[in-house]
Amino acid sequence: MTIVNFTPLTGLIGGLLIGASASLLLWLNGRIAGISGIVAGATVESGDDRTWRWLFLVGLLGGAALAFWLVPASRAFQADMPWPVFLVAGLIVGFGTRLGSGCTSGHGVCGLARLSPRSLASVVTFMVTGVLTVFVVRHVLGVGV
Amino acid sequence: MRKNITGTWDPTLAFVMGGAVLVTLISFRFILKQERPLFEGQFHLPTRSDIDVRLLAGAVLFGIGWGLAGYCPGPGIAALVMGVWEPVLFVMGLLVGMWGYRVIMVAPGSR
Repeated sequence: MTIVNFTPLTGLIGGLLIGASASLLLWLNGRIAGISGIVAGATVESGDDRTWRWLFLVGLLGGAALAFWLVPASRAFQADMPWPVFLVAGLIVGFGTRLGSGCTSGHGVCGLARLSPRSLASVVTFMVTGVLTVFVVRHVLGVGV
Repeated sequence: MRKNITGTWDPTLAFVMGGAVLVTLISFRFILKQERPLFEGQFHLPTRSDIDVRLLAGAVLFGIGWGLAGYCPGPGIAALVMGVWEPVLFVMGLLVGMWGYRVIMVAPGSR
């Protein structure tokens, strides 16, 4: 097994910033920084408080643009899958995160910190499933190698 | 978050998640001791603690989609500004999937 693109320092800094972001949202607005929930609430759900969700998403895009500009290496992207895979993967993630009430941010970054048993069960489940999926797709099916 | 566990393996992801949870594990202790958040009347927190089939089935689906594209929702949206098509396709799928969930799984009365 070769280790590629291993950038622990930028990874750690990015993680600390994500943690700081989730902390600020909870401290200032009392909200959980769960991206799938924020996206659903800003778009397909008929909630009455869409404003903070859209502001958060605009900030997310702005922060990403800033990072790509300041640290060009963070643009590293390999499209090593056929394009329809991204569409199908998005569909599954969209449906799955609503069914399971969250993703890596809501259940992972925030739920684990709240010591929520639901979030721990979710994180363990999607981590294991994610690793298995990558293994099957790349090793067994040999796609995107 | 990109992951690519193949012959190649990038452990950076563990540092991202570890760094983020390190911060929230500490900060949430202090924040949730406050009576209310700074700019709002109350905290908006999930209250359930039961582990049901929906939670686990959703996590399984999410794991599959994440493993397929290498994106979870946050980085997928952040990558929209990168100027490549793959994140755009991913986010389009994401929105349709969320809309489909409402249409199929949520009773019209409680939408």
